[in-house]
Amino acid sequence: MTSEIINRNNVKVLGEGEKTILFAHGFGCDQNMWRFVTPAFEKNYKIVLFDYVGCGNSDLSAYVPDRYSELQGYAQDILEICSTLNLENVIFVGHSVSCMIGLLADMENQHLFSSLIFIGPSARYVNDMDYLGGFSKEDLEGLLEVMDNNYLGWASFLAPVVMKNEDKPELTKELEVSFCSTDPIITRNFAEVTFFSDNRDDLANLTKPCLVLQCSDDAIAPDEVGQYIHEQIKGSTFEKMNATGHCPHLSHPTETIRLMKKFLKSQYHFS
Amino acid sequence: MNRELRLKLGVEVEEVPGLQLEDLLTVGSKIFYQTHFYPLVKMQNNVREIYLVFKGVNGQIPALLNVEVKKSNDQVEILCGGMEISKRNKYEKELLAAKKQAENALLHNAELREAKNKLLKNQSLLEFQLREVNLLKEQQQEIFRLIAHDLQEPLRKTIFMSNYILNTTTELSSGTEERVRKIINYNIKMREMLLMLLRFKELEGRNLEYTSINLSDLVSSAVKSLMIDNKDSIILTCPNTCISLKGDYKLLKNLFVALIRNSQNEQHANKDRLLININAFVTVKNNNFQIKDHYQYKKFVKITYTDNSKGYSSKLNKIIQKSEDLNKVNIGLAYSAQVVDKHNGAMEAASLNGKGVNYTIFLPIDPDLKN
Repeated sequence: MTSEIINRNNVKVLGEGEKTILFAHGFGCDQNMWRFVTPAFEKNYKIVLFDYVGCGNSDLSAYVPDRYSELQGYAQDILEICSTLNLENVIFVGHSVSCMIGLLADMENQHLFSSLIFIGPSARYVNDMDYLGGFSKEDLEGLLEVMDNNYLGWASFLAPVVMKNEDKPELTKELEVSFCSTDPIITRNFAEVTFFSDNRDDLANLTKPCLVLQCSDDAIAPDEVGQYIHEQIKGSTFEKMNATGHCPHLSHPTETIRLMKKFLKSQYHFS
Repeated sequence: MNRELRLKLGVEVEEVPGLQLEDLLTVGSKIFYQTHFYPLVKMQNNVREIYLVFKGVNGQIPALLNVEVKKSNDQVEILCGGMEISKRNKYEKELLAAKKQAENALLHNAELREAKNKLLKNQSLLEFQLREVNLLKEQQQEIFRLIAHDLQEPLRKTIFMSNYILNTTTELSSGTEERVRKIINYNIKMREMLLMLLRFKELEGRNLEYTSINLSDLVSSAVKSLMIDNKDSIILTCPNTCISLKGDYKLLKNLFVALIRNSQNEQHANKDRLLININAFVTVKNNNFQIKDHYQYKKFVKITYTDNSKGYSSKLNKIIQKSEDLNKVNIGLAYSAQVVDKHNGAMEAASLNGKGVNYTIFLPIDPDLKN
């Protein structure tokens, strides 16, 4: 059972510290997204990385469509990984949709996380009455169309030809099989579950210390959305980043690390 | 940016510097740019054959893009080449639609076949289990008939006789009188437990009467019926204040009465106030508690019930324990679990000695009334 979950979610444990940080990747790629951030925490923390079932190097045969038809299914992945590794008092770090997945996992098992860090969270992507999510239904149908027309899923076959990491040859082998090359059908389902989710009512249930990192000019989770999340989660800390875009851990790792450490220091008196 | 693209996008030469690629795209493509395109470029320094749609002057322009990042000593140069594929895209779209249709049909077919196989396998298992359940049911009914009538009667008589002795005999020594009173007390306790057991048993055959219930009202009415001296000692918190669900009002009220009564029975002698904390929120949960790898999501109220009583380690399905006090508590618990079960919900218990009890109850907001 133990190795089953570890293999299923391609779980990687690194770092020399005692306190655990669990990094949960967002929609789009996999645990590789964290590679510029994790080195800064390796010395003082135990770091747990994983791929959701259906992403990255996870076991695609474990993908049960019904299970992953709601974000709760993805939250189950997190809960199962934590129970397999006997983790507790975990610092949860989620990007994009993983923020809400982490919130759902916390609602199901309130003894697991000691604090949560949300990078570019959104509780609902589609505009609603009195709520600005940033997208109309038509916008998101446009995304699904773009996804249908991109054959990243096939990239795994073409990897040796397509991907040349001349400056980092050690990465090439890893990239051949994993990087962003996901099953197109699964990824499409994930997109639908993600972008048509609505977790606004769940936010009030989070009572743990929580950091909301809001990028500038984030096309996916605009300022209003981050502000809304901050207001709904009582006692949360809000940091507006200089980083632009939706992936500050990739584009501006230094600022991301600095703000994470600042928050951790305020919570645990060390970083 | 070359002339061709500038014309199509309606961009003047002097406007080009400072333009962001993502701002030229349709919203759907912008999301894909953020979630896939950018991470790929950032980590691989190149991408090939990525499909993105530009916002053109005369409508959308689908294009395939290649990107190459050239890093020299102090400079980063990003080269991006693309090709419009409007015509090809129309054809491809049709192909994709046909492919999707075929895939769906295949999937549907495979699902049907799997479902059929499962059904056949389960049918024979079900037959076997039904027979076993019926047999157990018959035996159980026999035992409960025994409890209901045959055991009640001798108890009633013993209490009656003991009272008779007390009332008619004047020269009883104080020691004997005390013992006779103890006999009466034991018998009364036993009768109470038998009644609880019967109530528990009656649940089985009961049809639920569903009404719309406000959870806060339900709990306050349960608290009221218990006539607790200090009303402040029960704390009820609901983050989303107004939670309502469909259920059997009387049974659900009994459930809270049973739980609170248990807390009272197990109250720490040295603590003057019993604190009960009932917390509730709405969540989505897999409706299949028993069958593994089967998922059907439904809205549930998740209720957590904690107190500062002595607490005890006990399993919900275990009614009979060594101590009499525990038996009383456990019948109450088993009753509660059965009420939850009747509502197609689930109840979990965690209790640490000395740290109070901790129950988690899931009740469906809108149960499937066919069951």
